[in-house]
Amino acid sequence: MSRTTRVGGAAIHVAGALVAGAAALAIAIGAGCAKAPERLRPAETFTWVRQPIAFSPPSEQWYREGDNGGGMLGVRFILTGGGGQCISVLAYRMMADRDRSEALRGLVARGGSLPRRLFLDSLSLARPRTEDPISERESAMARELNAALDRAMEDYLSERTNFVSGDLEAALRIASAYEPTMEEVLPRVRLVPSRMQEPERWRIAYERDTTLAGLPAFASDDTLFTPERPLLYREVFWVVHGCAFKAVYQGTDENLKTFYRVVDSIRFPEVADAAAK
Amino acid sequence: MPLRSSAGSCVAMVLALAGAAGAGCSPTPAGKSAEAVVVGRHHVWLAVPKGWERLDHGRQQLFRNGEAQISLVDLGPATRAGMVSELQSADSLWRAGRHLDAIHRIRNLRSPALRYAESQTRADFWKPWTDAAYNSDPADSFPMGLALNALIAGTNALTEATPDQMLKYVLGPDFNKERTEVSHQGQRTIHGSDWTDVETWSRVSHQYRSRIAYLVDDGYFLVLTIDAGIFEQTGPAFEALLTSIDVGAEEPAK
Repeated sequence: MSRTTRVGGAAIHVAGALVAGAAALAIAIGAGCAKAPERLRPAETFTWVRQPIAFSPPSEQWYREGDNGGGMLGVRFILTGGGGQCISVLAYRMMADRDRSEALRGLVARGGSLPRRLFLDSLSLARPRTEDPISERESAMARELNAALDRAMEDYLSERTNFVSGDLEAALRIASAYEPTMEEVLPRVRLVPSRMQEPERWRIAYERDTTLAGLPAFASDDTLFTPERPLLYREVFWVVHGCAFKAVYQGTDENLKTFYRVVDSIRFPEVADAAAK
Repeated sequence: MPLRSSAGSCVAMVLALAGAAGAGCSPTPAGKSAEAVVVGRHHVWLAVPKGWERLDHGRQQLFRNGEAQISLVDLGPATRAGMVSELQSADSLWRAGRHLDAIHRIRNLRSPALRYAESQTRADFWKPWTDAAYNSDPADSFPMGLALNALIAGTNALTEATPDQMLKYVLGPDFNKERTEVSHQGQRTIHGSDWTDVETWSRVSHQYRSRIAYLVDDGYFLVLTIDAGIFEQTGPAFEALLTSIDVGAEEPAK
């Protein structure tokens, strides 16, 4: 009896050791099989508008295409064999082009040395757009700026050249003082299904103000119903130094973390830093 | 036994001959021997990458592999000294009685110092020549000779181009800053020559990479550039060509 018990006890010990070993092996295998986070590529700096943007693109599995449409300029990373899954990072180019301070800065710097025809051409090119204003504040700035440029033209044509540089500097001050804010830009850029070609494909879910890339941002978690399957549709917006940007994800839940890793890598370097790089 | 001995000496001779021939060819890492090539005013040694062919167009050497193409070009005067040299060549042609050749050379005078000069400075530079060409019979050597001398003297009034202007000049007027940007720019010394090595890509997507490298040799530009082809194919060939180019050497670089 006692012998049997001893033998049985040994068997239990061996079985226990085997179970523990198998469990350890299973854990080890499980840990080995866990999908490692997708490695991003080295950070790149893009200068689509006055304000540069830097981020780490997703891995080679996502091939890239330039995107220049809808008043935006940017890059789209499309998942190979992903059935339309993509990550985009874009700048609102047409909105950035409304800023005339760069053209005015050039006029102030070399206005005096320009031949008459070139000066008048440059002056007209420095005028702000007045149609379809972003906000009432922008509209007021455009009116004020146009009045300053009218004075500059009048003084130039009346050969009161001493006054022209003063008028141009005043115009530059007016243009530089205005930078669109997130509150002004958001109503124009956020997803509104009724503005889309097929409104029934979009469903707005959760929208929020947040902080991403160290800056205030607006994020929305929506759904896009494609003919094949519904896809997550995530958008993040920033307005930095008057330039609007957005990052968009269209895809499945599985690749969402890659999008957020790209978003986490986004930085807005100073213009001088970006030029140095 | 004597037969075996003579066979052995024959093998030794063949090996020695092969060795001697090999030493003259100086094989390069690109797998081909360096060859002497004249590119406009530049005398260079270079090794054509394996699988590529070279077409000699005088001032332009083309390297082709299927649809891919790289070119090595004498882009003309880079400095005021180069301009003077070019004008002196025109003067020699004029004195040799080749008036039309001389006029063609003067009319095609290009340089960054001239391109980026103020419009008034440029007009002042050309004034003696345009006045002489307008007022005189082209066959009359005296006023044209004076005008040529005035052009040579006029180079002193020009400001030497800055490195940025040189880069802009080499990239050319077709370089569209809206579409393409310089992604990397550096200086390299290859076989004792200082090259400016530039890489470009699409401003929007950072695709469509390309490379251009240039140096100033005796006042003239020598430019190596990728003209066509995918970068994965042209990039290594460009690098192999660039590192093989030895400017003005009597012998190929070892």
